[in-house]
Amino acid sequence: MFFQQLVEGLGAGAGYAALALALVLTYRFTGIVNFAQGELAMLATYVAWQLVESGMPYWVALPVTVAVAFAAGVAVERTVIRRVETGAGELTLVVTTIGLYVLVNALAALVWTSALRAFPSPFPDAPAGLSALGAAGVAGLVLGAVALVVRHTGLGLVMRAVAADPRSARLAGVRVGRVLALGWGAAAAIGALSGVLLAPTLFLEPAMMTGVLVYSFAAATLGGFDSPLGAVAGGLLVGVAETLAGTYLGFVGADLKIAVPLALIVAVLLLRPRGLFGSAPVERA
Amino acid sequence: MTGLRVRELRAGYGAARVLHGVELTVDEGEVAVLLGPNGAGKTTLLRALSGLVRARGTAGFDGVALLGRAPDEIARLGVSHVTQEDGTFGPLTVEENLRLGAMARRRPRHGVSEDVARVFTYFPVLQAHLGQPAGTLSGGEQRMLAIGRALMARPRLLLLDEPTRGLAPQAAVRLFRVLRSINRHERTTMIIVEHNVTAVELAHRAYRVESGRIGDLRRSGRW
Repeated sequence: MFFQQLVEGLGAGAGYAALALALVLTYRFTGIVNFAQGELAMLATYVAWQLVESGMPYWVALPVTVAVAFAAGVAVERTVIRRVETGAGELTLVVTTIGLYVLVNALAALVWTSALRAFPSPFPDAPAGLSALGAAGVAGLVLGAVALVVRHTGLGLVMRAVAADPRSARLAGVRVGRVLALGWGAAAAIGALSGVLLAPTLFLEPAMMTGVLVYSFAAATLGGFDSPLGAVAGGLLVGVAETLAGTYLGFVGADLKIAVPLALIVAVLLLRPRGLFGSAPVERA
Repeated sequence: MTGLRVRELRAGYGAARVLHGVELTVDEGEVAVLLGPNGAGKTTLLRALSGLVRARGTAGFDGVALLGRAPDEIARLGVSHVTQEDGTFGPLTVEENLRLGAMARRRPRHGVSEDVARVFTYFPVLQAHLGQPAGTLSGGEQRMLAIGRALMARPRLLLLDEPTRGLAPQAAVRLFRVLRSINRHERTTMIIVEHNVTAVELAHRAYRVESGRIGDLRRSGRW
């Protein structure tokens, strides 16, 4: 029973982890907290659903969806964010992403209505436990790929330079605009995975990612908002904490379980304000 | 004649005009030093040349117009600007900073280790800190790293904004020697903004910037 709950928590946590990773990547490489990250993921999940409904095999629809999400992320950065960013403060950007959130949500409801739709599982014949572990594995793989690119490639070097100091990066000949667009694209692609991972259990509807976004913010904060590893670890922790508390803490039950990860975060941040894996700025005193 | 030709350069920030028609000539392989009081427009002149500040007039480098281009594009044309305030990426290691410097080149991956070795001949102290985050270096070491990173781009024109600021007098003299050696060996054209008058010793040309205008020090005999 405990083991089953644990695995189930990991499965849900994988979805939170992927969205948290998307949030952290956007924040770390562009300095923007993207409140619309979850809604973009929801939109991508609808695209996946539409593709599968039209007869495309699941494992073909998935990469196509990820590619579409990537292009959408790039397009949002190029058309909306970049225009607002030049000459606007941080608050304007925050409000812009909240505006995007509302817009995308309304758009999805307009096109697909707010009816609940069943979304296919990636492993339809596997027992629930195995597909949950599979989802956690996918989150781990994505993290590994991100870490590999960021740590060990020329592109990653350029991305880290832009994150550290966009002006100096520009003076070093880096096409900063392209790097930012790429960051948004990558985040949107990873976010799409989150939506696809969670949709089989949550059912597909325009408000599907609203609660997930809260959990993912929680996960990112728990892990340290600038740490990709922290985002994934935080996501899995939040998923497990939520599931276990819902089952074992009698007074929590199904209604209160959304509060559990938040309580956990407050506790962690009181002891370690940077989050579990967050880094202090490297500076000579 | 190759080199930098600046004519009638006007620039400012918003409504504040800082440069009023600057004329500047630096031939290929020359070192030009710009002196002058704070607020005279020296930094703005460098910023205009590297695309950080919008400017009117003309500025041609080896026959290519610089004004109106984005900073990254100007960097890829072979103009490296080492600013006063930033220039190193704190969280990145010394080695990563240097590798990043090569990004402005047409072939960013080609000959990187040779160039890193070449930077170490000018700034040997950097070699000991190769794997260390740049943010943990001392102020002087960060300055060397910033210049080293600029050299990695194999620039044809190097713009240095107060490279000796905050350095002890002896360290400043050492840095000037290194800059002279870079100029001789790499044939890099340089424009150096300085408060330190010693800089004039390594200059082929010295200009005085005052109230947004420029005068040739040697010709005007004001020095």
